[in-house]
Amino acid sequence: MADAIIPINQQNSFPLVSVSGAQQATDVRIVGGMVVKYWGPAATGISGTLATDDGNGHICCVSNYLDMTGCSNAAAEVRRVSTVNPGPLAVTPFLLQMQYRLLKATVMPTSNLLGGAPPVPPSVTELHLLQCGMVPLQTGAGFAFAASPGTNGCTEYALIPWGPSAAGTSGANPSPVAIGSDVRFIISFGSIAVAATDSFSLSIWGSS
Amino acid sequence: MAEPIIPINQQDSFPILSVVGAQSADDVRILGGTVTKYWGPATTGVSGIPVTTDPAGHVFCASRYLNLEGCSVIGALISRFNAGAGGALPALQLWMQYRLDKATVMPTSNALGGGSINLDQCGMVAVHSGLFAFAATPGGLAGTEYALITWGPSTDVGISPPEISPTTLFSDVRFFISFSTNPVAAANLFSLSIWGSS
Repeated sequence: MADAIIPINQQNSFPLVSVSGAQQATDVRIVGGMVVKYWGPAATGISGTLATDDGNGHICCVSNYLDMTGCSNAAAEVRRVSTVNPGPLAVTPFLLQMQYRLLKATVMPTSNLLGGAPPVPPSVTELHLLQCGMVPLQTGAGFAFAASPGTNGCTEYALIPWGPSAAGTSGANPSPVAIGSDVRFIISFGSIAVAATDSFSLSIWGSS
Repeated sequence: MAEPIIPINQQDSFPILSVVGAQSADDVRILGGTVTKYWGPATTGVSGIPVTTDPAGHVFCASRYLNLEGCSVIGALISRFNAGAGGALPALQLWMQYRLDKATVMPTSNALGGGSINLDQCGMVAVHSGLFAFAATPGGLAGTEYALITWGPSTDVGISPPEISPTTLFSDVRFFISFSTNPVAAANLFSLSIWGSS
């Protein structure tokens, strides 16, 4: 009997977790020529963590660097868990920011420790993170978790999807793409305090 | 026994650093038919360098020609380092320039054009609308600042601004960090990294 012939394009059905291009992801699939990657909270590093002060007064949660090679479209889900009982309170608005690394050895800043006020719209100027190579993934003043009417602690979710657009520089015209091998995400509350009773988790889906 | 038959398209799962189409990139990966390339500062040629001034008075940093075949979605990261008190810089714009063929010596400024930036007279396309300005480093501190500029294909029928429609498909594409004619102190050093994807 002749050797089995391997179907054309069969590699599209293989998970590629073992190859360098798929490092770190919780799940990687190639379906019909399209790359799909998923990073759960444990992989992003934001998994039930508190917002911290970076030393420059910026309150944020910072993810691990993710290998988003092959992904230009993405969706992020931010989860907030409040342990306040009764009556979890509203949380100040946040912006999800994306940051690339110049080289793997580069230590990127998490806040504008050395930057000043950039000439960008107020909603972004407030955070001053453009000088740190960050791009906000949504326009406007950000997303705010509302107060919960319940009497117990609660879990709430924010979904933020995005894809490439025509053109854009940091801030005024966000045009996020997520194609690099060293991309991390920052849930930024600016300089506004967040109660220690609120913890956050981040999941990312990416696709070509 | 016959030799194993290699699946057609299996090369999609292989890195192709050695082939001609991947020349000049630091890293090339093909996953599921999606091409991804990366050029670090040493490869772009903009690696901790000061700006230069061309004979027409334009102040800029120019990259090498990069082989961007297969890439239509791009992320560029510009860093600015100043070992002393880094003052605010004039606004910059990142431009992309194609070469018609490899023997062509493309202009670096609008020696024949007028206006302040007007580099579209040289076959350049601004890859973002608006300008980006590195702010002063407070406290007179040394520091590195970063600007992330990303773009993808649009449906615009694009000529150079105001209808920006950058695509980056070719084998001879270079980038300019252009400060127009505004002076930039030599103490400011710039680096450029590029990520590209299909």
